[in-house]
Parts: sequence; C-alpha cells; structure tokens
Amino acid sequence: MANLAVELVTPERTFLLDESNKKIDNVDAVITTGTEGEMTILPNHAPLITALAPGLLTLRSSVGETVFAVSGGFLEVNVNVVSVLADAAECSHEIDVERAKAARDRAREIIDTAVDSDEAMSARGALSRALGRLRAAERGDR
Amino acid sequence: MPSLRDVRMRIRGIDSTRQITRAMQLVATSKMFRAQDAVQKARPYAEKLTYVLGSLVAAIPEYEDPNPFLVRRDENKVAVVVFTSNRGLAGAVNSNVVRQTIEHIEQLRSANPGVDVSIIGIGKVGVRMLNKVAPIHSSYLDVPDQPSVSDVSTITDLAKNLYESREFDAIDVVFPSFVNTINQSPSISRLLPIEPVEHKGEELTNVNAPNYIYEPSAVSVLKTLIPRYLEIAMYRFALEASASEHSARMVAMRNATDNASELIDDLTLLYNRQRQSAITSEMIDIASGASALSQ
Repeated sequence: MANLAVELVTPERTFLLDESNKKIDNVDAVITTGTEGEMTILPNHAPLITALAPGLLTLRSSVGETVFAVSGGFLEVNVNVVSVLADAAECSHEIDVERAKAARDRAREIIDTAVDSDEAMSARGALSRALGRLRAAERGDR
Repeated sequence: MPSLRDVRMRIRGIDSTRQITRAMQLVATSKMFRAQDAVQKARPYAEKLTYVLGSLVAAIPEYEDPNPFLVRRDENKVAVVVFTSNRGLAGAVNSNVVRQTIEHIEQLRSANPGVDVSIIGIGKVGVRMLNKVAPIHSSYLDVPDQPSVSDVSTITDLAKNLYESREFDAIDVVFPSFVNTINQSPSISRLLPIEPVEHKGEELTNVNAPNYIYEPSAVSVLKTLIPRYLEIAMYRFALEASASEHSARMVAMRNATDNASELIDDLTLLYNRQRQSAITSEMIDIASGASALSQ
C-alpha cells in the first residue's frame, strides 16, 4: 500500500524532517481536526485543501503514533503528500503542561469576566489552543 | 606639526571609538545570524501558503462572490508602508529605502496626478526622513529586533482595515530586501489588493492547478486564508528588514573598526617617529655640549 509523506510547517520552523532534511514519508494515516470536524486522510486521497481548527494532528505509522498540538491553519493533500500549514505547532513531548494549564485557566477567567465580545472571542481562541495542547500532551504520553 | 602629547591623545580617542564600533559589530553579528536564520525558516511556510492562495484564487470563478481583497479599484488613495530601522549607523540601508520610497511616490503621482499618498512608517529613521514627502498616516516605532508574527499583526490589521473601509485603494510596502550579508536592495511590493500569484514562474490557473476538493468550500477557505496570508507577508517584510538592518550595521561597524585600526597604526608610526626625532635632537644637544666642554 502507498504511504503518505507529511510536512508540517509553521512560520517559525519546519517539523517532521529527518536528519537529511527530507520529508517523513512512511505515514499510514493523518488524523486532524478540520473546521467541519475530525477527518482522517488515508493514502491515495483526492487532492484537498481545508482549513484546520485548533486541535490535534496525529500521524499514524507502523512505528507508532506522533501527536502534535496545532493551533489552526490549513491542510493540503496532493498526490500522497500532506502539507500542514499551522499557525503554531508543538510536538506532544515538547509541550509544557504547566504552562498550558495556566493558559487554560487564564483564558477561562477572561471569558467569565470579559465585557466586550472581541476580548471573549480571542480568549475563546486561546482556550481552545490550550485545551488542544493539553490533549496532545496526554495522548503523547500513552 | 602636532606635539607628541596631541598625537597620544588622538590615539587614545580613536582607540575608544574603535572599542565602541567593535562592540556594536559583535552585537550586530549575532543579531544578524538570528535574523537571517528566521528569514530562512519562514520561507517554506510562506511559499506553501502563497501556493495554496494561488490555487484557491484560480479555483474560484471571477464572477462568484469576489473577495474584496482581490478586487482592484481605481487608485486614488494609496498608502505606502515603509520599513526602516529604529536606530541609525546601519550603512545605507535606511537611506536607500527612503530614496526608493520617494521615487515610488513620485511615480504614483506622475501616473495619477490626483492621487493621495500617505505613509505608514515603521522605524524612527523613516518617519523622520519622510514626513516632508507625504503625510504620515501612522507610525510604529516599537517593532522589536526579532519580530514575531504577533508583533506585526497590529500593522497588518491596520492595513486590512484601511483597505476594507476604503480609506485607501491600494497599499504598497517598501522594505530593504535581504539578498545577502553585503547586499540589501530596497524593494517595493504590493500588499493590497492581492496580486495574482505565481508558482514556479507561471501564474496559477484552474488548468494547471490540481483539481482540489475544498472543505468546506473554496470561498470560505479563501476567507480564512487571506488574513493569514497578509500577516505572513507583513511578517516576512519585517524579517527581511531586520536581517538587512543588522547585516548592514555589521558591515558598517566592521569598516569603522578597520578604519580606526588603520588610523591608529598611522598615528602610532607618527608618534614613534616624533619621539625618535626628539630623542635624537636631545642626543645631539648633549653630544655637542659634551664636545664643547672637552675642547
């Protein structure tokens, strides 16, 4: 069966490159959160472009699972190459759980006390990012 | 002929200047490496995003719900965003950008005599040098040395709002583009309206782009992508400006340090010569005195 090559790029850095700077290309499935809900990309998927909601990006391969927390962005599939353009991304084992928890609590507090809707909106975004990171950290530990 | 003491004072003065320029050179070098690194790292993301944008634009037929950011209007009011540094002593980087801006504004004015040009200045130097050329609409003086996406998002938001509210019909950016450490050339780029995207040298059309499925729809993906695209475009301008500034300052300070060393060498030579001639004439005095006594 064909495999998927995956690249995960953010404005600050590029993830998922092996030592010789080549894309990882032994992935069997990519599971991610689109704006319309969770979706799984399998090999030989039709060309696709979608917006991503903050959440998890899971790469499943014969070796195991790699989990990333992704804070929104875009995903492109073209001829078994999956490109994820994330606003920001973190690998599960890099996540600072304490910081994420603090961010979650802070965001909740702001949502409770916010007076104008802009403030609440941005806090809600921060909350979903923090929750995504916490979930990724949890999943990665297993 | 300066006295020995004068020469010694000058050497000391130049030496302390050299210490300062050398320190600035070292600081600029380390900042330069970080800034160049950031420019490199931002490239893959920006290229991919531009490609996705291009394929989206190509996929949406023009008659269908045109996105306001892609529509050209008559350019009666143009804003020029100018990236300069907050501090001087950075070679010709800032003055090149300023000169390019003035040329660009003149071109806009000669193409359309009724055009109303304003400047959005980033960096103190540009704001100071350009306020006689065109009115400064707003200025940002607190962009840090290592800008992040969120540092420039206020500028992006401003540009977006000004364009959307039709306060300006076009927004251009003048910035020092980073070619390499010794070469930074000022460039002009159109931020809004978004220009047709080129991919590998040719414009993307619905013929050569893969037949993508858009989830939930091309129009809505485009709507979320454009703000991101603008943010990244602005981020890249800021990164290039920062890399250019630090590279130019590094080179300028290295030249200054080299010059100071050369001056010190010359003055040291002069100092030693004068000291030697003073000693020689004293020796002659003593010798002639001694020979006069012995006679």
